[in-house]
Amino acid sequence: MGGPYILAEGLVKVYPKGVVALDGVSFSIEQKGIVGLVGPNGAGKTTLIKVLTTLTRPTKGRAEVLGYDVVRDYEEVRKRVSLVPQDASPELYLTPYEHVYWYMRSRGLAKGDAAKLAREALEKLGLWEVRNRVCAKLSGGMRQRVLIASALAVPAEVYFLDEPTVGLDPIARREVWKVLRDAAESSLVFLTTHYMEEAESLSDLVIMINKGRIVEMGSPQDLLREVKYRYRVVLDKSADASGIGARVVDAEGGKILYAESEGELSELIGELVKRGLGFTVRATSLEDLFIVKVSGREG
Amino acid sequence: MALSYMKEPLAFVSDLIIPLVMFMVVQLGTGRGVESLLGILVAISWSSGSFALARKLATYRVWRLLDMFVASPLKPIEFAVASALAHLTIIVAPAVVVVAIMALTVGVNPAALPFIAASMLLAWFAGTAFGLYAYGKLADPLRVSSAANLLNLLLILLPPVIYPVSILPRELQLASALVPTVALKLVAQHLAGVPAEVPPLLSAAAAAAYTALFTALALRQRLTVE
Repeated sequence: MGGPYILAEGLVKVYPKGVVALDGVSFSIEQKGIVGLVGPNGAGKTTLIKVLTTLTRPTKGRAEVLGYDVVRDYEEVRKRVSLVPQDASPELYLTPYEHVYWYMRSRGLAKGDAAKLAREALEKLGLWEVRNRVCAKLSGGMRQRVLIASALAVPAEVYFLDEPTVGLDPIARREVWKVLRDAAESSLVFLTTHYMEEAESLSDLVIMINKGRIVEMGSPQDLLREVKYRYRVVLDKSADASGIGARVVDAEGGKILYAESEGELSELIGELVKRGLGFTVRATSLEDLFIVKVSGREG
Repeated sequence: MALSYMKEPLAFVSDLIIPLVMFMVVQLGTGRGVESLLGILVAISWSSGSFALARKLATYRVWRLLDMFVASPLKPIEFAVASALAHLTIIVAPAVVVVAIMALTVGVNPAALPFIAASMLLAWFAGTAFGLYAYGKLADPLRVSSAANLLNLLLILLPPVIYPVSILPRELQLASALVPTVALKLVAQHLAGVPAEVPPLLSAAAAAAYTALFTALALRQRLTVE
């Protein structure tokens, strides 16, 4: 393998009718591990995955996966990657075992290897007991896991997963995280998510994207150091936060106030108690960096 | 990864019921049931290659399952051919039923069976090429089903595929050979030794021309990448 795992230089993707999905995306991933690409709906996450997995061509710019250009050398890229698309469905008339087994056979694996790897993948994802039940009779979460099992059973150098844990319950999600961590020991796992908790606890590297542009990139620890606010206080959306000195952000879940220090937090709590407002307090996380940088509105 | 009738047994019934009812009507009305049964064999072969394959590709595309195969070493043409071959295996069971009905009702010369099988293969091949071309042309995969239904009507039910060409007025009998599925049915008739109103050279030329045309058009289609 030559070069970084993934190299993107000035990627632009404009869809018909002028929709700009990627607007000059550049980054480089040098090491294996887990990379989490986070961003709001319509940020360009899926389009970036499509470009890197050779499903669509960029309008401008270039990208390489494992040293192979995604346009010129797309066949070489396809030999080395494996993909779980967003909102995909398995073939409903196949059983989980058939799905995983035949997917690997279609990728050129021998019968014995495919059978062995299928069993391992299904066991890791908690699907072995239902291996002979047709996918049409499985729950949505199980069907999603069939797709993940199919993709991760394949020995690939880069795994791309587009929102893989949507629709999974917390226990199933953690099972998938464990499988992804195992895969990341020998390969690069590049996943998109809009669950900040997932990006923060799972990823070695986080890339934040909004409106087709990268807004932040770094390890979760490095990014958290950039968050100058240490505490977040959440109020009800209708609460009157006017006149309060702290930074206020209107977000989906309510009004969020940020405090830079414990002293500022104490003052803030005192003011809120005086006003008779209910609130919750916790330490800031990547979600707050995301809210402040990408989707929050100043109150 | 073709769906066998074991997974979807009702499909076996639904695939055969209308054609067999039409056969009974033709046999009782004209006594030319063997032409109808040959037409049914050609129809199911053509349909498995065209409508079924196009529907399958479109469904996989809507389900985004096709993306997993694109982002893999499997070439799009390999995927398409493998899917088409899988659909070919599906028609073995209904073909056996139709040939059995043929043997029990109108009789069939065993020496003709290889030629009948060859006709079915030709129809499947031509239908596959047509299906790949049609799938590649349709921008919206959700429209494939309605397009397939319309084409089924125009290419199988309306023209003299399951009913004899002789039912048409004389002036239209030769012209009917210009419909690809009718040309393929007439080729099957000639190969099986069943007399037809259209000269064998005309139907063979039409079938060969359509097969070549659809193959050329299918090879020019880009099946996957946007």
